[in-house]
Amino acid sequence: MMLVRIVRIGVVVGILALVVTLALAFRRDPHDIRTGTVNKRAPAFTLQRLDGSGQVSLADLEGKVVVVNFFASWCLPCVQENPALVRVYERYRSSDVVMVGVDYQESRANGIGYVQRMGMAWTTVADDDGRVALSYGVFGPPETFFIGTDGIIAGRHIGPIDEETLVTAIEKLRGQASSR
Amino acid sequence: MNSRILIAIALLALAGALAFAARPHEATADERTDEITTELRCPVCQGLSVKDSTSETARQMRDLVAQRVREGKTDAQIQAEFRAAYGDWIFLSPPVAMAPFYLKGVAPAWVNINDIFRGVLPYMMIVIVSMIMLYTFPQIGLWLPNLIYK
Repeated sequence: MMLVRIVRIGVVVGILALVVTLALAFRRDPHDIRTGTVNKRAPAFTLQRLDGSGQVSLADLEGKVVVVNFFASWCLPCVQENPALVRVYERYRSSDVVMVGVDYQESRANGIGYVQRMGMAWTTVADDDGRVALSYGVFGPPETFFIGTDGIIAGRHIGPIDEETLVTAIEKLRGQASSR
Repeated sequence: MNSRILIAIALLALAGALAFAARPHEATADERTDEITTELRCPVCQGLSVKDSTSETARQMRDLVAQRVREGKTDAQIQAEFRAAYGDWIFLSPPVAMAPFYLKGVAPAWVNINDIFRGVLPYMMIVIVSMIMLYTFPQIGLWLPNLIYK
């Protein structure tokens, strides 16, 4: 009888341990993915502006905090996150923070239409062959990468991003830059 | 007699054809692209390889692999390029047991597959020791059930 009781207690303890382990594991933010390119030098790119007015090269933005946002007009979460991006752009437009929108898997005409419709005044470029998205390890839009003044990707956000997350990540990078 | 000779000739011809088809030869660029993309996971699909997927992302990945093959890059160099962007997750085919790979699928992405295998080793040792004990002392297999259900 004693042994049966010990076995039952053991089973209950085991289940509790499993529940605690799972609870701790699932507490992590699934949007905060620290894989692949994070903490590594941001892959270089030179892409055509969506409106065709020349090229944008990441190398030219060195020394600035760069927010790279992959978007597409067919992506509903991109529409959802856009107001936050607009507010953050207005907040930092006269600072050392640069926002670059990378249009993902769509035609130029659709991309330009979307940019105009959504009031995206920041730099937008076309990743026609998807090579830049592949080099950043993008799963699908929207995805946002935060690149520090040292050219290292400090963070990545998968899915629609909000204003608070954007500002927190940007301010952290600006703080690191000013303390250097 | 004639029919036996004919059968022997047919068998020899078949064996020769098989040997010719299976002869070692250097893989063409297309064959290499197929081999590499078979092992790559399509990032926007459910368990499909880049070779088998019809998605736009998979097409772009196939184009990139084909270009790298044309540029003379080795398989390892091409795989390293995808690993740098997506981590080990991007490789589809598990070389050994499946469970560590299921775990890799739900673990935080910065957990390396090698970390999981290192973590699994002590449990494998426990299983091996248990197997040896059961083989040596088979009666211990029924010791606990006998105590509970006597």
